[in-house]
Amino acid sequence: MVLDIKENKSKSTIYVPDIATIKKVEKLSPIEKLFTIVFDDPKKQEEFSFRPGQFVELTVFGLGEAPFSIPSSPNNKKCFQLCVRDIGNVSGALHRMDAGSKIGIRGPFGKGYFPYDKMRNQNILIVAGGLGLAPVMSLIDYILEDRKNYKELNLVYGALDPESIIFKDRVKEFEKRKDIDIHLTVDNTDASWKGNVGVVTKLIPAIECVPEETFAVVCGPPVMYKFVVKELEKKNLRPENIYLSLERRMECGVGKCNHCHIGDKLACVDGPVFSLWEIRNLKEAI
Amino acid sequence: MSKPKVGIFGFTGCGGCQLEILNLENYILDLVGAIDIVHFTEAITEHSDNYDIALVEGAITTKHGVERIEKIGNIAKIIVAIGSCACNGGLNCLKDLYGLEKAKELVYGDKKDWIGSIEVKPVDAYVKVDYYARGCPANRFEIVDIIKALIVGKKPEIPNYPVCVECKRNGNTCVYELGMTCMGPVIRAGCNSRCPNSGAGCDGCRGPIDDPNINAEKDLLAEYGLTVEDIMQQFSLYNAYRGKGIKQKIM
Amino acid sequence: MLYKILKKENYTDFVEKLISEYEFIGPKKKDKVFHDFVPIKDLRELDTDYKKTTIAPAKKLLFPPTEELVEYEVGDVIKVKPLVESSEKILFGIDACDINGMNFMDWIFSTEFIDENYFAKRRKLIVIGKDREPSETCFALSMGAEYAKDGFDIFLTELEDRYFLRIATSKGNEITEKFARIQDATDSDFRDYDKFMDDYRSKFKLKINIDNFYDDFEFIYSNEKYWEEASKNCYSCGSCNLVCPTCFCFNVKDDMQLNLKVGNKMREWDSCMIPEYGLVAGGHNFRPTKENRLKQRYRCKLKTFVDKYGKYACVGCGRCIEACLAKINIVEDVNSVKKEVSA
Repeated sequence: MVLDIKENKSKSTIYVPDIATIKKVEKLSPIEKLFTIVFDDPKKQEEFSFRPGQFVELTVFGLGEAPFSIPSSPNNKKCFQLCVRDIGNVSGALHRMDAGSKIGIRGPFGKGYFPYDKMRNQNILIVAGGLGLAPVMSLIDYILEDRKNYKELNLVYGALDPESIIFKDRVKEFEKRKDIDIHLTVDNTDASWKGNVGVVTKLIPAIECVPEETFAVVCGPPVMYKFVVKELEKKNLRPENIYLSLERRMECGVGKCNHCHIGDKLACVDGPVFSLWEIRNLKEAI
Repeated sequence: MSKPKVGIFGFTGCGGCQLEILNLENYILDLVGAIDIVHFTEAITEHSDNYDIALVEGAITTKHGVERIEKIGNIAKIIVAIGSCACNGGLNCLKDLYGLEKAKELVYGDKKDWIGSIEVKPVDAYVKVDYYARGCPANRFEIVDIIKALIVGKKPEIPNYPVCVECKRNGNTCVYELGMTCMGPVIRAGCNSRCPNSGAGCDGCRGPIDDPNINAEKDLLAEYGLTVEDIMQQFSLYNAYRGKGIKQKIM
Repeated sequence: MLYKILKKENYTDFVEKLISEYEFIGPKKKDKVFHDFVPIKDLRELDTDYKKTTIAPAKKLLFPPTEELVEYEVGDVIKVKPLVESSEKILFGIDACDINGMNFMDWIFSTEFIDENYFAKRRKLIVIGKDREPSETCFALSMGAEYAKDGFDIFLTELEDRYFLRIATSKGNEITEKFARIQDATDSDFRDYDKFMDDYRSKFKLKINIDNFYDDFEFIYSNEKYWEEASKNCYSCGSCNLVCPTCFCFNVKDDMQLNLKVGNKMREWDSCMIPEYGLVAGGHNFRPTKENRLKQRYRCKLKTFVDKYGKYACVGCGRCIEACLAKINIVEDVNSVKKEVSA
């Protein structure tokens, strides 16, 4: 059979990871760590560019592979970061790894990213829950580094309890900064907590926004989306301007294995970021 | 990384699962390279009470057995039940279908009181079992996979889908098509569809998947001419233990 | 396309030459029920008039049930090596709807990213198709897959005393010129072929009412009672997916040898009917019930790829109907959706 598909000359396949080294491990919460990663091949590191919202497939050799969104800024070309919750086989193994350990990386993947280009000269409202802050951190940093091209920037972030807040230093920094308004809440308090208590949806109504000039970004645990979307719709935001980063089982990352199906879409190639309009009629999406 | 110390213990059963480990042939050298076997009932005479992982074969059927398994439970950090008997009582549980006293009488006659036989229970009735290598006998490659997973530090992947999946991957003709019956649609895979590969129906030695469609299986077996009694027998062969599992669900 | 004629008296000689020259895969009787596509060494083993075949023939040759993708050595330096295997083979006696199934797989494995593990094998597969009588559960005609326009090198249609050959590639042309005594097709050959095709199409008795399903699916989507009834007997065993010539879902797994030095990344056929399919790390399952899963399967087969590929991801071969012990029948289910809508 003669096919137009050209023979692969690069001697690599879409399943072969590039070797990278963990340069730094920081503890963010009792169950989350931040890994700073650099490709062993300097050329690969140089070429590695991604958009906010994209993800990579990380291989722990001999153990398995799992998808992680990239929380670091796309402008940082020297390294990239992954925020990992100790929850499964691969993430558990990562948590046992120290700086210097070797891992495999494939990606970045996903055509669906946070549309930082369309968002220019618009207000931005970011709603994140728990570990959902990680994927949007990349967008926040991108905007902060190009701040003059964006209008109001609001971040609503909810965590389980004060201890579970990730990127605590960054959150403190945001609280001090004038160019980002952060609205923080926790579900369960402790004695030290002086801030808001309850779910993120409670904080959304108080945020003022001009519906036709506002983009919203949502990322959090599966249960969160439906409720947040309801609140955003109450503010008359256009469904085309509401972006959701959806988690599914992205195994191959390249649209082959089909595990990340959301109705007619694949989270790995069509997403993982979708506009609410795109998934409006996909009943199992949120 | 230091090699984990492993003890392999036998309780009531045929010893076949321990033999499966010895039958690993090409793997056995790598296996003893990767772990330190400090106790192996069927294979070595030395004995040590210093182990991290206990592989336990056989069901608990005697008072002495209860003492032994509780001691293992106190020492081992991880317990892996291997084989049907250890995982859910296996064939041994058929004894209890007669009632304990009646069974003792049938087997030992007037000497029945000499024997400390108790109601058959699987290992997890007495100690916490971390992982199950099911089957009669256990699949030796699955035992290796569990050990490997424990060494590299991941949760062993034990299938929670029916035997049909492996049967189809292996390109078998469905035994129902050949006019026989099979428990495969409700029984947990992981055996590489051992019985259907050789043209026999699955007897259910690995026990049911987490959410078996028992009603559909009963209808299917009835359609192939089995009576309610036949069906009960079919289900009971490896799954007669009343504490949990399929038997309970169909009664 | 070239159109040639192979006289029946020359057929045996042609096939025998192919068997001796190539690694030759063809249908062979497996047991009293099924045929399987296996290596053929002797013409007598070959039986192209099969009624039933459980195993998707093209799929397993190009996308084996388990396949190693990457091998690596772990040490101070990690060495990673892609594993891509391929060798020239002839696949003989595959029917039109299975060729269409393979065309779908070609699309899946080439769209967005090219899957070299699949295409290395596909490039070297010489496909010689042949018509066969549709089985009882085959509804390929309603799916528009009873005829293959491409995806093969040579396609044989058996007329009374001769074979009508459609030669789709230069490779197919080389092979026929080298190994077969052929002649050009004449007007009367075309006339007979045309008549044969009309007859052949009339043999597809099973019809699926698919025309409006794309929209009707949304109508039935939230009808819980319908899906509960349709999936009541489902074992979640995945047989329907695993025998399907267009199902392509797979798991990717990493494994390490006991020496802890050499490991690999491999894939194995998966099924969307298995509960674990929609499970993510952290324990959330996006499709926890068998109703969800059956719905997803029908959506994937009959809707998703109409948008993406322009065709259905179902060629109507009927294997899933044969394989399902719970008697879940895609034809009956789709036809009953139609009834629900018009009721």
